[in-house]
Amino acid sequence: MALLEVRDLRTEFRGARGSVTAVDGVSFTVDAGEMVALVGESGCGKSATAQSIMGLIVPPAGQVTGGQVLFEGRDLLKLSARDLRAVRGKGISMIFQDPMTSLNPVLTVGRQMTEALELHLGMSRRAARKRAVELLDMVRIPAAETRLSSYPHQLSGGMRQRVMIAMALSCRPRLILADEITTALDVTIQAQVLDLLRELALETRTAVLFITHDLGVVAGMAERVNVMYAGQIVERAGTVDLFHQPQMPYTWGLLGSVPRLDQARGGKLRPIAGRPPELSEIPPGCRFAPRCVHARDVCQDQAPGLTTVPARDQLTRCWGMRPADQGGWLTTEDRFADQSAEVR
Amino acid sequence: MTTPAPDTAPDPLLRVRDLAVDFKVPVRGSMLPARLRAVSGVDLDVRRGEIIGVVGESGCGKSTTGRAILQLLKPSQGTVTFDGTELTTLDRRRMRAMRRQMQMIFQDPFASLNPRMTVGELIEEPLLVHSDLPAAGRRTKALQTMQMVGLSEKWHDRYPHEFSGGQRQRVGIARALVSSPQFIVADEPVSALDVSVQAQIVNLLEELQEELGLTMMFIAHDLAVVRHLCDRIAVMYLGSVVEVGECEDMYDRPRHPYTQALLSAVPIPDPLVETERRRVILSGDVPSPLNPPSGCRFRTRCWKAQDICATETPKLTGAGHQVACHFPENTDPRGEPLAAAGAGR
Repeated sequence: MALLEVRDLRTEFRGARGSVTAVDGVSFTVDAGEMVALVGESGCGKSATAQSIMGLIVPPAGQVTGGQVLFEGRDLLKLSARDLRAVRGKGISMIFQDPMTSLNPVLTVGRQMTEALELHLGMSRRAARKRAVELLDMVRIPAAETRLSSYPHQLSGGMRQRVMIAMALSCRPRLILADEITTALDVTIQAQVLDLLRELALETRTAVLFITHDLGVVAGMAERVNVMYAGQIVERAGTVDLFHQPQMPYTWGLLGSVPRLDQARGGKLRPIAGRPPELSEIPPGCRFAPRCVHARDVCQDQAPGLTTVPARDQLTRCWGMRPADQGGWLTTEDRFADQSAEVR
Repeated sequence: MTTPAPDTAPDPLLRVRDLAVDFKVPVRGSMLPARLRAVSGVDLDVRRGEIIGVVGESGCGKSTTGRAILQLLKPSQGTVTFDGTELTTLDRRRMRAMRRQMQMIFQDPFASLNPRMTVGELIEEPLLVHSDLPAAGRRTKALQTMQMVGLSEKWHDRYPHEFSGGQRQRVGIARALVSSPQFIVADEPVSALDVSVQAQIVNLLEELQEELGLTMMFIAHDLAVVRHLCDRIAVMYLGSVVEVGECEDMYDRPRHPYTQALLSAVPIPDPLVETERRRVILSGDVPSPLNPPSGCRFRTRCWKAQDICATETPKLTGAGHQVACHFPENTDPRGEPLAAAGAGR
């Protein structure tokens, strides 16, 4: 049994022009101790997925309207607020992009850390304080003892994120949801934080659902990757397969758009034409078809399902990548075609 | 303070010498503000027709340098010579005339624009200042520029809020280019964009630079984008330039410890390369610019630091590839564990 199994999750938000489906039939699993990535551009539904898992979508602004979130076999969507609180912290904890919005500005770092320990693990104040110092040491915050009396604004961005990691790990959860945790950080600080999370997750055998837009970060962190586009998963693969044998034109476009530090100047980037659809104007067929240079009539008319690529441990949502005898017309070699033909 | 001319390139378009910019910041419990030196002793030449990348982390002074060059911020000391004209001593009227030649592209061009003006009006606006074209001529010029940056004519009478991030940046680029400048400072022009759109804008800048023979200063924190786009790179740390050189040289043979660490921290979108890489993980954070370390400003995070680094500020030295370090890397990175750029190759 997977540690986390998300089945056919559907989350809607209410907007000015009616409701939009931000997460539309998303299914995936995370095994114990595994690091899985959810990658995609802004508005693809990756953060909404994480918030739905944690029960952070609050009506009337948004609502989980379908599916199951099975954590260790229990459906979190059916839990009472009280039972869900018990799962948060001890079972699953979450780290956000901006720690300033999740840390309480008027409480010291120490108080915020000990509060969770007292609440979830029933520790005494003194024991909780001792544990908090250990945790800050673990995330390599110098002078941990004195840092306990600091307020969040007195810490640098990198330190705040390390405090968040310490808090996320404090109740020994089985799963951490890490939502764009290094997006606001400078690159040398990002390297520190990722290094730390990787090491600690491995050491404590904590599973991580790693949500990011940065393919470089995915390459160095995740074992498996789910690519999201316009509310759906469009490709799932082991990390090496995703980068070396991608099976979905959107993934090709993403990879072609990223300049690489280890590649000399010269070649042009191969961007994707246009931009993702508005969630209120989802195209009827494949959601990527309007931007896809390989699209044919079937792509405009009918929505493809997420299907297994023959002989590979990989899923793709693409008509063209079906086997040739089922009418497919693409191979992975086609990824080097000019995606930008329609740009502008 | 006199500094030896660090770059012997003949006749650069822009020559910056000993540039410093101070900000006043309020101090709690004191009537007198403290002085924060955001940029300190920057020497930089920009050659005609090149794209020079200025990189560094938040607070390193890269944007401040760009703004001080265009005289949008008043430098506290130093000289900025553009095509033979000294800018720091120009009066406002003459500086305004110079601005036709030097324009800026911002990260979010619409943060500072009037939302009640149409895109056409926004793009024509610089021509009101920088040209004596009649209305019809301005319109023609604006439409030409829109075409050049890939904006369809139908957008001319629309308002900015109807635009996506990528289209807005095209408008920002059009505004910068409509007065036909020689020199552009682009300050993080793609960092707010999603990767698929970012690539469109990077390609556009590349095409425009070639087509128009522009000289460009590209300020960014994304080193992969900079490598893709730039001829030369200047790395800044806490207000100073620590290393400058040809792009390929900087990435293949970084000499300053900070450049080495910075390059090794950039993730590469290839899991096979990532697992093989050696990283230099810097400890600690960037010190406060209010109270910078003595001597070399990087020494508090540097694994090579010795006593001399605390007492003497290293100067930018060398021909072509210049580095400001008492103990710069002197060997080729092959077989050298610390030089991690392009590892695995």
